Amino acid sequence: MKLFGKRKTVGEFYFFILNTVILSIIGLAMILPFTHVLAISLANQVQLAHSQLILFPNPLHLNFKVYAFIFSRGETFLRPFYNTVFVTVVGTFLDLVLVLITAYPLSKSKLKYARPLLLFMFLPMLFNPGIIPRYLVVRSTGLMDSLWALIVPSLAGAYGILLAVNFFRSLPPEIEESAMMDGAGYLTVITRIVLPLSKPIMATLAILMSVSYWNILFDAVLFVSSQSRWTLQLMLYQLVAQFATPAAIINANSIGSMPAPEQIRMTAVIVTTLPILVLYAFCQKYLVRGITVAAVKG
Amino acid sequence: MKKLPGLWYDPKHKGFWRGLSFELSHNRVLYLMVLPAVLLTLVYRYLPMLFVVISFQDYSFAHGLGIMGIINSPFVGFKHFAELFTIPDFGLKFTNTLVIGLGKQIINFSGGLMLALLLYEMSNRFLRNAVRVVTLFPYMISWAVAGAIFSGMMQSNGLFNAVIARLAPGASAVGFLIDPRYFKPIIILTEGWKYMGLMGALFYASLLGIDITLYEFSSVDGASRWDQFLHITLPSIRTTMIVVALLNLQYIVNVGPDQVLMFLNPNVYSTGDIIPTYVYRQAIFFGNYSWATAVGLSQSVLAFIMVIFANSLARKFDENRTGLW
Repeated sequence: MKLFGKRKTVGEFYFFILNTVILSIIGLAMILPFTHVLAISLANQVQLAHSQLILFPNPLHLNFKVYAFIFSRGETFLRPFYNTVFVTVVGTFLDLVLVLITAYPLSKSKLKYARPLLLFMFLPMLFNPGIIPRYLVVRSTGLMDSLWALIVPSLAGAYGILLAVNFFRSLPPEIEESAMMDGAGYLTVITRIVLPLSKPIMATLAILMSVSYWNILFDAVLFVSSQSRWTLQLMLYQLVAQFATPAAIINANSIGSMPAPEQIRMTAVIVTTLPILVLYAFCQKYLVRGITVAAVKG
Repeated sequence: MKKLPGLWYDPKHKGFWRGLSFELSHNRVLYLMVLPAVLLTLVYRYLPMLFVVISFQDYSFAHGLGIMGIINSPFVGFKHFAELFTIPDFGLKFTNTLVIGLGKQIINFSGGLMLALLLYEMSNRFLRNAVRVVTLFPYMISWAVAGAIFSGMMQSNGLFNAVIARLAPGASAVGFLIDPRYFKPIIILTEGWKYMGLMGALFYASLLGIDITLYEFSSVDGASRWDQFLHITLPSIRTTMIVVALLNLQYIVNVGPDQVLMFLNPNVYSTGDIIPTYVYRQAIFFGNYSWATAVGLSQSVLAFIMVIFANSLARKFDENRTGLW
């Protein structure tokens, strides 16, 4: 962030204009697809048949029928929503607990096997055996066609442990040491002292993990087969890439007044994206911090 | 007897196993805490490495599931690796892989760099923060969502064609999704859309670390903003640029399956089918696990070699001998 105003030279002024224009274009390019999707999902069907050239929802003519349709079809759209929420909540909770209780001991330098264990946890990052071995291992552990196949293999990943270990190392050891001298066991120290101090890292980790679990796609394609266990992402994949018309995946009896397929797709997109958007809007600071720290360290 | 500062071990217990059991019992709570994650890592990250061995066998489920399958499957040496070159249109798939992978990395890298530099030079705080926040959001959504959005926009009655109809009335609709000519640009540009914000945030973070006083002193010495850009800004992030480029090198070969899943269809195989997607189809739909693992292994090895080679190049030509190691 330079401290110059735009009054220094003419050249600087023109550059400022150019910069503004370019950045605005980039910013719009990132937002407009979403507003377009929102617009389509709320559009009037007659208008839609005419042309899809709409970028913003028209506040005067909002059509909520497609949303009503989606939410009425519980089996097809609400079940994936429930499944995704299950994977995200359970996954984030388990993952967070595991990362924290793993990173705490490993951050203690007095622990003799801390460094070898850390190395043990990080080594797999270097060597990725590929899709097939992972697929076979998951099959062998009996997780096929279960939502747990999306949760368990991703637990206690090296990135989270790295972030948490660094965080724990930054805590002053005197607090714990004085507590233990006063007779506190590890359990007391952790619950009463370390955990309350760990709120920042817990927030960062929880958000990064939530986004990661919410967005799982390929693992779901590999491991989940029955429609009752679809996640939101898998449902979108079926709608888009497999060219399944919405009629095909809806076990409905009255297909009579079904909205246009494009509208259903776009509404499904909005339903899938909205929770992430809300999370992002409120917790964006933590997300950015977590990503840049992980990336810079990595 | 090793003597380490601040004795963490009891010198009375000589010998490795005695020392080990002492350490474990002395700190049993801590080691117990680590145990679940260690087990999980062992099963889901180390065991797949063991499974890589099936690339040297003729593995199939007929021989048994899991470890038993490995033990019972016949050993065939490098047969599958040799078969790598016999897949139909290998040359075409290979060039597709390279072009798409390289194109993606170039767009991501230069787009992110440009974005970060522009943001850094933007004095208006509102625009700067707004663009930063907005460009990072596409990274948060999955490829299922991004694929759905762009596929929707590129349909024959979608947004892009509607724009074309408005600008050039009477022109027939362009089939972006089924025309092989558009596949590579679509893949590369949508990836840029998704990751430009992330790369920008990365470079921007390192730009923030530049000492501001450098700029003040140089302007006293009569440097223009362009001079400052060339001689202060750019060199300061050179290290970051090299490291980021090295880290992302593997993605030229190791393409993630998510994006391709959403856009690939039989119509565009001629320009879009790359080696990882072909392998995925062979493995999942035809059960060709050994062969697929061999290809995956080759890919990892190739990426690894590329990174080592590029790293030594970087260290040789950079005055600070920057590199990943």
